[in-house]
Amino acid sequence: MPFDQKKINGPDNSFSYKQYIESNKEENQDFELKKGRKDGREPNESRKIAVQMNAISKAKGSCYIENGNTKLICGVFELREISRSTRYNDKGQLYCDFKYAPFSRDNRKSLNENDEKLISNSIKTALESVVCLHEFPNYQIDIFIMVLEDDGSILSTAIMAAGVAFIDACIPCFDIPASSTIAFYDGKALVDPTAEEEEIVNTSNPQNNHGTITLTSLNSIDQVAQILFTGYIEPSILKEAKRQLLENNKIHEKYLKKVISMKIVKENRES
Amino acid sequence: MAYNALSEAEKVFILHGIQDDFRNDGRSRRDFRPMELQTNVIASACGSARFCIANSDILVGIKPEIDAPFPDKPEEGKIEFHVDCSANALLDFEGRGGEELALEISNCLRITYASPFAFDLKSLCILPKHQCWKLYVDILILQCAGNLYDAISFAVKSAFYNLRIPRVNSALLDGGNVDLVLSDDPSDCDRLDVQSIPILLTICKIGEHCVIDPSIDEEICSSSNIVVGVSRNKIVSLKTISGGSFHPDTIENCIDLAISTAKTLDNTLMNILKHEESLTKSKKNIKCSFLN
Repeated sequence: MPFDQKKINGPDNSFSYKQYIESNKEENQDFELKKGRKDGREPNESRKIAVQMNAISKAKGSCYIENGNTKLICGVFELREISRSTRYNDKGQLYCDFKYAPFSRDNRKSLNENDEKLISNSIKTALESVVCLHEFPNYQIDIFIMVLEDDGSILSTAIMAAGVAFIDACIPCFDIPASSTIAFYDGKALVDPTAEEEEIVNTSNPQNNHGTITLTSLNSIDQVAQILFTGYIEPSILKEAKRQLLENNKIHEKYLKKVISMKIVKENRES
Repeated sequence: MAYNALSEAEKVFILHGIQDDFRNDGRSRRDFRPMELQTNVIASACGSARFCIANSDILVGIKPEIDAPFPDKPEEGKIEFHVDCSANALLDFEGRGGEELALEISNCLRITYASPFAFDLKSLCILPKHQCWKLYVDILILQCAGNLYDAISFAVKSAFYNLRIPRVNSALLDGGNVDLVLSDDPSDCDRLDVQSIPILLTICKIGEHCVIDPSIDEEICSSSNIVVGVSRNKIVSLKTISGGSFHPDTIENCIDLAISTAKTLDNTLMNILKHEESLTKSKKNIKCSFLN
């Protein structure tokens, strides 16, 4: 992201006023989460997902997805041959570029480059077992993902968007990847956490069993494509969460299939 | 991860070996290769260690620096991991070739050390809101023979055990400037509690079985790899590396295998570190070369 020289950033040693707001204090946040979730959801309730295929006209395949307030756009571009200077690959290669828009979070400065790399690496890992890469020897497929608004569960949303974009691009896949996230607060599982919940769970005042886990599954072939967990947790709680994540993925998969089949029906009618 | 020419017949041979619980080098599925450890090998770093698993050779140096804490975390220090893949380790690492792997490993370490129960950043605080220690953990991969994640995590833990941070006798705020009084005696140092520092274990799925400590050939044969971070019988991180999917039940097997292995390994590592320290204490410490 180019540096905006015209923007006045204030003195060097200044910082956001937000940390002085009473409701942001750790004790308050803890207290609120103990009462229940802020948006009134049940602990095992996901937010509503909306998917639109073919959102970018220039891309081979694309997808715009909303998961609650989390919004992102994903594009898959034409295949291109890998230059001869590098070694020949029997399998196709994926290149994943994941970026937060500067306005996607509350705090513009907090954008962490390593975080972007970690997420794009996880997306790539997940997609490598989704796309039939053996059909494209020595070709590279580029995926670009831009986060427009970050309100938690970003990795799982991005993987689902990328999966739908691949299908929109008519690139052969083994299955539609379905993905979901669980945040643990004091050992209790909160499905599909918002950005605020993720922060309370991981950074401000963690309880003994805390963390977030994202799991991507390919339901029709009963496989897990990717897992990412960070936190500190008893193994038994993690195993229990795995079951819940797989359950949840089935619901997501159903919806994604519906969106895709509706698009095909629509296209057939037009032609 | 690494490129190695392996014919189909060789791959089948390795696969069959693992099915019979008798690997190429005579190990069973739950055995590690021989390990070697040496701490305090770099004179210019405050904590250092060199760790080898068979031919995987890792050198770690830790240097503390004084820095201002993040405004939203006034009582916490900072830690930064930097991995460097030497082109001597693998030809693939030449030029920018190792960068992607280096970033993947440093990110994996970052999420493993993220929980305050795994690594307490509050112990690095000098004066809240004003000054804290920032630890630069520099990891150099000298040779690569598979299982880099495990080797690196052991090396980093050993370097943390060896780490000596200069003792700050007093820190006072004087008109917005911080006055630090450091101890005059250079051997007067603070040490960190390393009991909870996590270790990483790579679990490799080859055929129907989960294997620990894969060699470079076994890594090529594997269908999927999972890296598990373990700290005091708790899971601190879980990450799949290099594409390939697996059955949901495999995760549970991996976690169980990782927990039981980490328990014994962690104990052994701590005992060895204590033993090694008592050996070096008795003789005069001359640091000139770690190659002998």
